[in-house]
Amino acid sequence: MTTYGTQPPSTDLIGRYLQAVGFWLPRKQKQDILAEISEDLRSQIEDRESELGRTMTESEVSDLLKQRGRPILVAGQFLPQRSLIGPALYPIYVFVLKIVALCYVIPWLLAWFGILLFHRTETAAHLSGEWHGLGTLWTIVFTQFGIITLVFAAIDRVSIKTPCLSDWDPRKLPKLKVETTTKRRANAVGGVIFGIFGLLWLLAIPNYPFLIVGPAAYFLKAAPVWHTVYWPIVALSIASIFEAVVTLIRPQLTWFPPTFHIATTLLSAWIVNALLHTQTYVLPANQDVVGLTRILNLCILICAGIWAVCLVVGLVIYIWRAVREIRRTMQPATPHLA
Amino acid sequence: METEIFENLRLELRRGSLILAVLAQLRTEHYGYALRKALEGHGLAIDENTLYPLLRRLETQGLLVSHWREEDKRNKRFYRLSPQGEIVLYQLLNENEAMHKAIDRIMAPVPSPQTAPGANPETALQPEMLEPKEQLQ
Repeated sequence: MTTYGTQPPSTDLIGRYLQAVGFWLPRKQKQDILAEISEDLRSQIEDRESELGRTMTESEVSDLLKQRGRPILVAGQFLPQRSLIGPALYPIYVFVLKIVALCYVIPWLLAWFGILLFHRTETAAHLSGEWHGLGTLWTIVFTQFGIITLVFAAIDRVSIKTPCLSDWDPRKLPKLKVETTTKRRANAVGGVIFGIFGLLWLLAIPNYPFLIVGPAAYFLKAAPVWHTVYWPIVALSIASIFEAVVTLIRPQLTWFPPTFHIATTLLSAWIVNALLHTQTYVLPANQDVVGLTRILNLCILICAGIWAVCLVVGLVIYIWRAVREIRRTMQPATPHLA
Repeated sequence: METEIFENLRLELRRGSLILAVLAQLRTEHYGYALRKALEGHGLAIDENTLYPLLRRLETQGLLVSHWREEDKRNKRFYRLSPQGEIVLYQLLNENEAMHKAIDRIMAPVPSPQTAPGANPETALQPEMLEPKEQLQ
């Protein structure tokens, strides 16, 4: 067992400890802080040795140092507290990250799953391609999150010096949002009226195609895909009227509209899938308009693609709203703010 | 879980009191270890990893002044309250007293479990709960 005897304890174990602490300290203060910690340790050892009536053993000194804590933690106490994004900006930072996740990551993930399912990739080469696509997605996601974090860190550094966070006017806050059952009923009445007009218009289209394409009905014909998707579109229209009627009768069922929208969005997704797979929507009635139909088909294809992306975003929003409303219904009632 | 919550709140409560105690103790000059022993002697033990960074912070804020001096053949850093520190100490003491008085007033009208209508005897504050169980760390 090693004892320190006349030799100062700091020469070995304490010296090593101080060296390890010093590694993490800022250069300007390093010697000063280490001298103070060293002096404190020596005083403590002296006290302990006078209590024991003998010099401390290496093991006892080791215990004492262990009690003080890891060198990195001890040094950390002397460093100024630093945070990349302060409490003032942190809620906005989290909000932006959520928006990016909601509008970019989740739709892309769902789209990726959709592609995987609809293409029914069975071969190893296809699967490898899909996985590669997912890898690229994550690289983009992490890059986006990284850039957002850096931007907020930069704003945080600047905003500390500007009074923009303390200088604000409560009168400029947005008006209190109170959605009453009366307002929901009024919206539902509008939904029923416009829904019925829309349904009548849809039902009339097969006999009066000019209702949708105008004078072009004389030289354009609907492609067979419309026969496949027509009745599902009519069903969607009836569903929207049904939803409006339910809201009119039971406006307090706040969970119903978003839950119902999930089902209608899935039906819409089936329609979009059928449209995206066909790519021919109008046929020329004569050879003069072949070029025109080609352009129209491309336009409708692009619109179907945009509709597909909107459906994915909508589906995420409806699921989130449905979960929120169901959870709210299950919780005990809380008083309104106003 | 409850212990963890209590521990966090205790640390929060202690943080301000430790500053007050250190400032008060440094009305007379002390070096780090002696200050630690003096506070411990008064029943307020303080970890060295808390004390030394705190001393440096208070010095940076201008509330303490320090200098290195040889004592018992060893160099020690001695701290004492600066004139600005003295002003802040008395302001803080007044604040602390006002806070204690306010808490005393808030706590005063707590009825006993027997007299309070509808009071839950299990959650009502018992006198023994207010007594310190162990020395502050």
